[in-house]
Amino acid sequence: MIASWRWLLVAGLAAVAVAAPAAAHSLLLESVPAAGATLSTPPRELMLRFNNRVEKSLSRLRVVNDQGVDHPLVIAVGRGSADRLTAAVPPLPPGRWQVQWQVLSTDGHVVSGRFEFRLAP
Amino acid sequence: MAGFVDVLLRGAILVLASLVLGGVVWTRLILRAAPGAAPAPATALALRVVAGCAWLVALAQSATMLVALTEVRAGHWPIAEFLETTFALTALARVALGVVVGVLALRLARRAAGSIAWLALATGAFALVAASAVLSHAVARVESRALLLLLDATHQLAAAAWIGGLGHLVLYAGWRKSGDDDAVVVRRFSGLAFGAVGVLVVAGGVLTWQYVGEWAALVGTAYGVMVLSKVIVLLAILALAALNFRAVRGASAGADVRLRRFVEVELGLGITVLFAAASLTSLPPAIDVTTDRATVAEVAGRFVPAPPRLTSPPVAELIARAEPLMAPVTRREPIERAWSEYNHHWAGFFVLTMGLLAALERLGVRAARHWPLVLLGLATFLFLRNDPRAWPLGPAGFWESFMLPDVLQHRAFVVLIVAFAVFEWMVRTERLPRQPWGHVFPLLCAVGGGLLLTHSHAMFNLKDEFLAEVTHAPLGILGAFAGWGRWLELRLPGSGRGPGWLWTLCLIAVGLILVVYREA
Repeated sequence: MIASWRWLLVAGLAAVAVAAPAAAHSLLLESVPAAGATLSTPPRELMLRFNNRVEKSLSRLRVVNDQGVDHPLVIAVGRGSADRLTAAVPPLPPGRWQVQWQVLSTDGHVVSGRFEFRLAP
Repeated sequence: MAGFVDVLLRGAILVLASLVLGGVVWTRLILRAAPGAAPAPATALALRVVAGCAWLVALAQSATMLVALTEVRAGHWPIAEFLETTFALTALARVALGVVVGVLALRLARRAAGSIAWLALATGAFALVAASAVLSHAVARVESRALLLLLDATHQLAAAAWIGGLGHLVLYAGWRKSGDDDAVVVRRFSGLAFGAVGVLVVAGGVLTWQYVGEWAALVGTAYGVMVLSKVIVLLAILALAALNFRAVRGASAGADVRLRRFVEVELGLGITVLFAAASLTSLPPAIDVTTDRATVAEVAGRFVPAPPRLTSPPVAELIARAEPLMAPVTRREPIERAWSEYNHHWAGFFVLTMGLLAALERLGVRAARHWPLVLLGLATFLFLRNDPRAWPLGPAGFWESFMLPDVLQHRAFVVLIVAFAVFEWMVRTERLPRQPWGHVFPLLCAVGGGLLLTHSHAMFNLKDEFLAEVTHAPLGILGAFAGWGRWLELRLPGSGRGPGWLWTLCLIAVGLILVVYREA
């Protein structure tokens, strides 16, 4: 019986050694601008809404384009509900822009993602 | 990689915290340890296990904070902001609880203590498990947070009392061997388990409805399928528990050994469920997955048999079209699907061959006992073809490719398969004694099955990821059942032919599912 207990322990350790990663936890439900949108005027603000509460002070937002222009954004920590991130956006020239985000959800999972929008000339 | 470690740590914490609370319940309600009395040897043993597990919870919880802090680091360590988050505050509280509970348990294991010390231990263990709800989906929800926290904590407390108690029952049975009061102890635990299971099923059912929302989501999302998998394994545990319940009440001849073996299997399956639960916390609740949800018809389509692929796409073309190994995955090309289907189909032929040879051995064909050697062919095939962008077929070097969790998992699988093949072949040809080496097969099957339940590829959208992996759930369940069937066959020789045929048929079923696997 002691031997069987030892084997169960080995099985547990083996499970720990090889267990797998899980899929993303926080889901981006909507954004302004929306993913894939084409805008005629530059957005002055970015808003992202998730399926759960996020820790705003430890979340990150940036907009980048394919010319290497990279704007890290300052998230408004005290504003809006706990499932939304908002940030002011500097003036952007026309072209394709990618929004890159990373959030720490309240239950401790860190998730990142990205989406694109286009700014018409 | 951080998500990978996080799931491991959360699973380990669930198991360890269960052993803490289960141990306290075990000593007070089952062994009836009384305040003021010197601890009996069985009580002292259980309390030492509680102490060790509580300290390990503290250690693992500290590691989860380090993992999260590493991930949110942006040029500097944002320690002050991190320590203000709900996650960090709760995790710190659990670390403190783990340390205190460990000290109290060790103190109570060594000498008599009054009712205040016992009350403090019970309160600490209760809080340690209940606080887990504050690290779950419940705390992050926008609506109905208080109700969900209450349900989650209730579910986890009941599961910990039951599965943790099973762990202590196995430990007690091994330490005690046999004794006059064993029947009394088992009867007490049986009553406690009955109540705990009732509570966890009711709380789990309401939680499932809150997080899944509708029947279609139970089938069309990874979260829903994981819940279904948990339910199926739980039903298997309950079937064994029902047999044990009858044995306890009937006290028939030989019931003692059978009961011990069934309890071992219940505990093993219970640990699988706890790791599946840890994986579940990392999946988005099904009710939130609306645009990426698969339909019932799409899921059913993945199980419709189709002719297997017998020729492989050229590797050079695959490497040219696929994204670099270390780059984030943003698309999945048809050639990648074809490559994966070919791999699954041939893996299926290997497993099916083994299952049929094992059945022949069972029917008396002695030469068929060499069936484990087929696994060496499978291991070689998987090592070469699992990750075509990595060594030896692809440009990524051997060590470099280990940095990708998918590759790491696949190679861990290959090592498990080789180990399984060697040990089982040596056991079956009597080069190694059945005790203890025969146990390698069931344990690796059970671990592999549990692993498949949580296996996940990083793909660019949830629906594709889910549909590609939906067949992993039945494979994982069959793997776990095969392992524990073989365990019973080995450990309970008088159990008849049922367990032996159970694992053999599970092996054949796994082979058949793999042969008809499809990704589109």
